[in-house]
Parts: sequence; C-alpha cells; structure tokens
Amino acid sequence: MTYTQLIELVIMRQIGIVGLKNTMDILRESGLAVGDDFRLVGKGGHDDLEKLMIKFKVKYGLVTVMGCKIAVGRKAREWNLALPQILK
Amino acid sequence: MSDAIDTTKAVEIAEKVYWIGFYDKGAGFHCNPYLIVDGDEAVLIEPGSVPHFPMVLSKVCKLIPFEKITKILVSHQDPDLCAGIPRFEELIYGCGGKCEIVTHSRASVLIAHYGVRSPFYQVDQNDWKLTLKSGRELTFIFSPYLHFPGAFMTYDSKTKILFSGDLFGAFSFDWNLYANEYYTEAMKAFHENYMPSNQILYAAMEKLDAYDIRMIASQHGSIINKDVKKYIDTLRNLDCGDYIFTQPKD
Repeated sequence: MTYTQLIELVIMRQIGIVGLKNTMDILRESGLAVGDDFRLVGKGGHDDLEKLMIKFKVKYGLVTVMGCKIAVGRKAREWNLALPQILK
Repeated sequence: MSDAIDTTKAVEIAEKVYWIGFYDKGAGFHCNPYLIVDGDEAVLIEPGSVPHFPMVLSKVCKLIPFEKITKILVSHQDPDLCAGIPRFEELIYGCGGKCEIVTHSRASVLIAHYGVRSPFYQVDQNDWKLTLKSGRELTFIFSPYLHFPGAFMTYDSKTKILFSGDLFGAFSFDWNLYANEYYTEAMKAFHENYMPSNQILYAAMEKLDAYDIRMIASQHGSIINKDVKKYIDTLRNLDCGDYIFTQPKD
C-alpha cells in the first residue's frame, strides 16, 4: 500500500464532501490527474498528499481535513506510512 | 447545490411532512429542521440554532399558525438544534398555545439550560412512543452514545420516515436536499469524527432492521430517499472514532 492509495482515498472523500467539480478543480490546481474511475494517473507521494490536503483546507476549511483524518490515519497506521503534519 | 428543488421554500418530503431548513451556502455542516402537520397539531423536529431561527421561522409561519405546534422534538441537546427553542416558545405561548419538549431524560436536564419554559415529555419515561391526538404514533429508537448518551431516532409509522438525529448525517459543502451518488463518502467522514465506535454504531443499525423505512431524514447532510438499506449497511460496517488509534495494531 502506498501514498497513491491514500491520495485516492482523499479524492473519494472530497468528492463526497465538496463535490465532484470542486474536487477536480483542486486536483488540477495540484497538478494531479485522475482517470474515469478516479484512480490517480501516475504515482503520488507524501508531499503530494500534503499539498492536496492544504489546498482543500485553504479553500473549504477544516471540515475537509476532519473528513479525511481518521480514514487516512487508519490506513497509514496499518501500512506504516508517515503522515504529513496536516493529517496528524 | 446541484438538485433542482426550490429550497427557498418549505419542501414537502411526504404527505404533510416538511423540510423547513435552508441552503446554507459555504457551510460544511448543514442543519435540517422538519415539521409534521397532523390534523390540528404539529410537531417541530430539531428546530435549529439562534442564527438559523429567522430562516426556519419564515417557513413555519407560511405553513401553520404557531399555536398549532404542540410538540418540539429534539434528538439530543446540542445548540445547533436546540438553541432556537426559547424563540419558538415565545411565539407559541404568545399566540395562546402551549407545547411539550420531547426528548430523552438525559438530554432534558441539559436542555433546561437554554431557558426553555415548556414541560418535558421524556421518551424513556413514556414507553419510547408518543401518540398524537389523531392516533398517529411516533416510535423512539434508542441510539445511546451516537453521539450523546441519550440520543434517539424517531420513526413515523404513517410515512415510514426515520428522523435519525445526527445518525446518517454528513459533511457537505456541495449540499443537496436529497442524497446523491457520492453521499456515502460524506456520511462516512461525518460518522468517523462524531460517532464513538463501530460496536456502538453496529448495535443501533441492528435495531433498524425491525422497521420498514422508506426515507431517512437526518439533522445534518441530505435526506436519503432511496437505497435506504445500503446506507444502513454502510454504517453497520463503519469503523469510526478516534479510539482506533489507541488500539494495538493487528
């Protein structure tokens, strides 16, 4: 399991919270692309996850961080992946 | 908001059952008050906060005279659903009406601190049901610790609507009155943060299996009007709460 999968988890969450169009806009601003199945095109890393979360927080507030923190934290713990500060 | 329903007006979600909230643009945390009109009485459900009072009031006053409200039903004591109660009481009593506040005894001792004047109808002291003058019965389903120790849901057997309190709520910047295909993710996000554990959530979802539910009307997020069982199963299996991080890893 990798950061790519954590980012995909965040993408699905944010589609639910801020909506499909708003999520796609943030992904474009972050330089990330997804396919029709919302899977990331290419790989994402720790820094991509951090940048993405910061962008959601800045534009839509803390609820977008709260909405991901537990689900992402649980997976990161399971897979021994270090989390960016914003998700700790 | 992407559905085409006019939310500037009350929306009749079932016969004489109204959503009386408003589109709170930019809020990630929508609140949903409801009104059941039954003959010559009405039940105001989760009426809302002080800042939301004018918007909720504007919808109630177009539907019924205030003295018709005989019950104010609140699933727990939080300010987003209870702080407006004294303002509604002023109007109800000012018109010569009177009402009861329907809630759990654990919530009633806290709701008293809002300065309410109405007597309490404590669901746990009344066999978990309330019969309206018409004979219509509201059944209360105890959902302790979700997220308050005295939380409960309300089932209206006439319309088969479950008024679920905070359960089935969601974080929702892109809010719609009715749940869309992405609602599950927004609902999971809310429950992970506000509900304590899967074990406790599971127990409440098991109770719902005994009811024929057509619609779930929650206090936050969107109304679930299809695939009800899918959403119940999602919560039944959801691992939620911060306690997860204190458990030893498998």
